[in-house]
Amino acid sequence: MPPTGPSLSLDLQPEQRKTFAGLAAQMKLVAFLLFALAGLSVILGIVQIFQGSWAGLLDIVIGGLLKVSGLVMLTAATSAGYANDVPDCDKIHAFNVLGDLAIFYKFQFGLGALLTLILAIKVLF
Amino acid sequence: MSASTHDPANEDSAQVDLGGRLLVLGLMLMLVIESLLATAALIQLSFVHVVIGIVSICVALYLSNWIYTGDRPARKVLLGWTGLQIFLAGGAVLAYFAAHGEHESMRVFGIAAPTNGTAISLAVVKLGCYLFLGYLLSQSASVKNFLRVKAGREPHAIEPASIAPSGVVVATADKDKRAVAEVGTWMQATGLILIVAGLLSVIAGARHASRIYLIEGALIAVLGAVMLGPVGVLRQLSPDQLDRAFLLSAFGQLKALYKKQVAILGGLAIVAVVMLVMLFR
Repeated sequence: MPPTGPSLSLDLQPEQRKTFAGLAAQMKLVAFLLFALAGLSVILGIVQIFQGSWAGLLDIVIGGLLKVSGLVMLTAATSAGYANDVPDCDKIHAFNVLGDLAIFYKFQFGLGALLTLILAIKVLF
Repeated sequence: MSASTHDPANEDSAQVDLGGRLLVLGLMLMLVIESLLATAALIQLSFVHVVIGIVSICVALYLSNWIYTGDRPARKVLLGWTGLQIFLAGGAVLAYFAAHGEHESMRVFGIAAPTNGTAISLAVVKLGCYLFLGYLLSQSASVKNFLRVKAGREPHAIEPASIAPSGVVVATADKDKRAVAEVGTWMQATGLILIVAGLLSVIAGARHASRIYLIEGALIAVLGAVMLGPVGVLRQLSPDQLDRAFLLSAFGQLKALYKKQVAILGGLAIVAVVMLVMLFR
């Protein structure tokens, strides 16, 4: 008797699988915009430093975190793309999307916490 | 609801408990901001505003006690009070900007404070607190269920009603279970912290009379708020017995979220370009 393990497929219909294709496209756009924001943030920081304000360093750090977030989002988008393209293993890729998103939101939380700290200081002083 | 997803009794009890906590948080925020406004008026020695502040605290205390009984009219009266306060706080913020950062213009909307910064901060925080309370009273299913239970009625079942369970349970490895459990939690935490950051940016923008910080703050707060949308569906996914239809619905919700996120991030990118241009001027 052949060995039976847990199925690697979600057994989806082609129209159900389209969810993953759409998700991958939107995620790529989000990643692209995060890269754009990261670049703008770094430029803002550098300009501020050249104008004599060391507060620009914080913008560079935020830019770095945005860049990493964008990379994680791009990885999640790739997994979503595979979930659409490889029906036999779509379950693995679907859960990889969720795993990547958990990492993405951890980074975003760190970014939010840093932003909150900076803004709280700005409001108080 | 399929047996393959949750224990409905436990789920309902947890939701009612959450509703109670959220309502207490909303009511506490209302009392805190009303107390702060009365204190600011006292420091400013504005007799009329001190009286308004004391009356507001009394009304807020009375309404808080009344709504906790679950009485249906109490919710409507508190919603009306919340609407009035949102109108006053919003009017105060608009008046401040119309008067080019002069806090005296906010007195007619019930805000008297010693400095421009304090006045606009109080107005923005008041607006945020009452918007939060208004959201809880009008939109939150958990809070509505908490009030139903308090009034001695049965809570409505909270479930992804529009999604029919497929009955197909997706087997998950430990790593996948962790991912399912973590993504909703971290998304909720991120949404909440972005709302706080957005409100702080709005306050900073208002204090420095900078419209660009104001817009940036509003966009960040909206980004946080839309992030909370799919959290309900994601947190209802049971890692141990995962129905395929619910899993697909969660991915559909994520797709809708990223569509909105693209628009908001585009707005933030435009704000960043404007900031860069302003640095060179």
